Formats: sequence, C-alpha cells, structure tokens
Amino acid sequence: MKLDVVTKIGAVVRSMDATEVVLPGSLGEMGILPGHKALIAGLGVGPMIVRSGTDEAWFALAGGFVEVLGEDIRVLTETCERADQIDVERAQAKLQESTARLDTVPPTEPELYNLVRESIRKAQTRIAVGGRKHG
Amino acid sequence: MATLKQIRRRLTSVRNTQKITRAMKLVAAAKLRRAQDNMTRARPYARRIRQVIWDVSERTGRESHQLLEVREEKKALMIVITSDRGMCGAFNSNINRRAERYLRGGEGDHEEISLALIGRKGRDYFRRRPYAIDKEYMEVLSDPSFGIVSQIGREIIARYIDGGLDAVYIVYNEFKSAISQKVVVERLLPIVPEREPDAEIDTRLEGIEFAYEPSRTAILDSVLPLYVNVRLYFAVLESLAAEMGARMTAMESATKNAGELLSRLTLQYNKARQAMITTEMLEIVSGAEALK
Repeated sequence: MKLDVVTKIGAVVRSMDATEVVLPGSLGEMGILPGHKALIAGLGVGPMIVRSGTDEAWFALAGGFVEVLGEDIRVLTETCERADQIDVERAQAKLQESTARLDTVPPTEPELYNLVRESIRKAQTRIAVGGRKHG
Repeated sequence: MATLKQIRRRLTSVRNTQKITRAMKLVAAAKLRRAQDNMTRARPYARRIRQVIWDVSERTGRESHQLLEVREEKKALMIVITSDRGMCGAFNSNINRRAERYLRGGEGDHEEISLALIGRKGRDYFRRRPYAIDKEYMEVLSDPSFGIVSQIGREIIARYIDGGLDAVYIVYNEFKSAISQKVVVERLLPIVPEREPDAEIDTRLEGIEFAYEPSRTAILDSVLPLYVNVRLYFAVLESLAAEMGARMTAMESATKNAGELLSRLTLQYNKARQAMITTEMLEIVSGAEALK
C-alpha cells in the first residue's frame, strides 16, 4: 500500500510503502491492511503507526480524515509529526501547562474546556510517540 | 534661485528617501515570497478538503448540513481584508471602495449587513463612515498563522449556526502577479461544493460506494468548518501577497522618481555653482580693472 499525508504546511509523507497502517479513528484505533474496502473516516488525536515488513514508524496525528481507495491511503490532518521530530520536553511542558489551565476554565465555557482538553490529548500523544524514537 | 546650501540639503534628503524606498521594496519582495510559499504549501491540503466535500455532498445532498444549506440571506456579514500599513498604492482604497459599493448598492439584497474588518486600513476607513462594524480583527496580518485565522473562522461559524447570520461574504485583493491585483467578492457561507477543476478524474471512483466512519454527517461536521477556515486562511495569504506586490510596485516607482529628482537637483546644483564662480570671477576681474 502507499501512504500519503498532507497537512497545511504541505505533504509530510509521500508515497510511503506500508503493509499495515494503524490510525487514530474518531471511533477508536483502526488498522488498515491491503485489500481494505473504500473508506472515508474521521480521525481523532493519537498515534499513527506505519508498518512495512519489520519496520515500524510512529507519527503523532491530530484530527482530519483518511481516505482509503484501492492501494492508496490518503490522510489529511492538522498536524503530523514523525517520532524523531518531536521535542518531548516541550510536549511535557505543554502538558503541564494545559493540565494546570484545565482547572481554571469556568464551567460557563464548555468550548474553551474542550480546546484545553484537546491540547492535553495532543501533548500526551506527542509524548507517547516521541518516546518511540528508537522503537 | 535656491542657494547652494538649500539645494545640497534637498539632495541629501531625497537621497535618504530613496534609500528607504529601495529598502522597503526589498523587504516587500521577501515577504511576498514567504506568503506565496505558504500558499503553495497549503494548496494540496485545500484541494483534498474540497474534493472530499464534493464527494460527500454529492452523495448526501445539500440539505444534509447547515453549512451547505442555502437560506434567505437576510442577515449578512462582510469580511473586508485590507492591510495594516500604507505605501502600497491603491491597494486599500480599491478594496474599501469595492466594499462600500456593495454596502450602498444593496447588491446582495440583504435586510441587514455588517462588517468584520481585518487590517487597520479598512478599520480606519469604515470607522469614519456610517456602516455597522461588527468586529475588528487587528494583529492578524503581522503574523498570519492558520491558528489565528481559525479562531476567526470558528467565531463566524458559531454565529452562522445559531442563526445570527444567513450569509458571509469576503472581500479581498486576489494576487494575480507581482504587479497586478484583483479585488474579488466571494461567498464564504453557505458553502458551495466545488469540483476540483484540474483534478484528474479517478476512474476507480466510478460505481464505488465509500464506507463512511462514523457517518457522512460526522465527516461533513468536521470537514466543512475546516474548509471555511482554509478558505479564510487563503484569502488572508492572497491579500498579503497582493499587498506586498502592490508595495513593491509602489516603492519601485518611488525609487525611480527619487532618481529622477536627484538628477534634476544635481543639474540645478551644478548650474548654481557655476553661476556663483562666474560671478566671483567677474567681481575679481572688475576689481582688478578698477585698480589700474
């Protein structure tokens, strides 16, 4: 299968070979193997794992959707970072900051609450994926 | 006739001005490249979103989502994108005049229309005129990130969804080339699904039923707001590129004018100097003659 990932800063992954792709679907983790039916699925915040033979590459994804058609997997997402590009320390700082902020959000602002929750999830994903540098 | 000292002072001042205009031209050129770069990089992203919206809405119909549904355009919002700074020729006045014409001429047949202004020049213009200004977004253009633009987009979408708005238009300068801009008025909401004009027709799509997870509506729910933000983001980038192009042209001609002025002043200076020398010589000679 061929994997492509586009974000608003351009194509991050171009025609990467894969035998299995695991994605953070909005309904939960989903794996895509060759011969998958045609699919358009929403994505949440979480890790994407690309396996090719015995190789494994981890990415942190945030939102968007995936389109599967034949042997092509096309992901459109807000951000996509490869494990070795992630600054884990910064993600940890961000996680602390957002966690602290969550308590200060008044209950009258559910939208802000959700935004902060999302940034916590993003930071957690980045920490989890960033820890996989050599995995 | 101006004295030598006066001319010399003018020469220095014109020379300094020319230095500034030349520097501004170079800065504008660099910023233009950056804006174009951002646009090029975001283009595939915008294209994929447009394609998916087209695919999904073709299968579900336009009534399926609030952001696609066309209703009577009673309350409209007009987003006007100008620049924060001047020195870019007719860039801002073209935009402001176009927007005002729309407001005055009742082109859209709205009962009520208000303004959202991005850029200081538009704000300065419309504040002095009797139109309803709904929101002013400054500090967007100095560092236009997708994040900041999305915030504006989110606000507008929220208001559209709870019925505070029936239509949203956007007026901005489209970047044609470094030397030409075109003022355009586009509708941002409701969204009109468009087919990618240059998309290669994927023959595999014929007769294929996609599975949608969790559902078509859920996909539209997440993709449509994204599309609004992307379009807004592109409009800001286009406008920025157009502004830099306009500034480049304006500064180029200012630099040229300064050059012409310099050569005229230099000529004048030399003439004055020679006239002075001639007068002095005459005085000496006639003085010497008188002593004989």
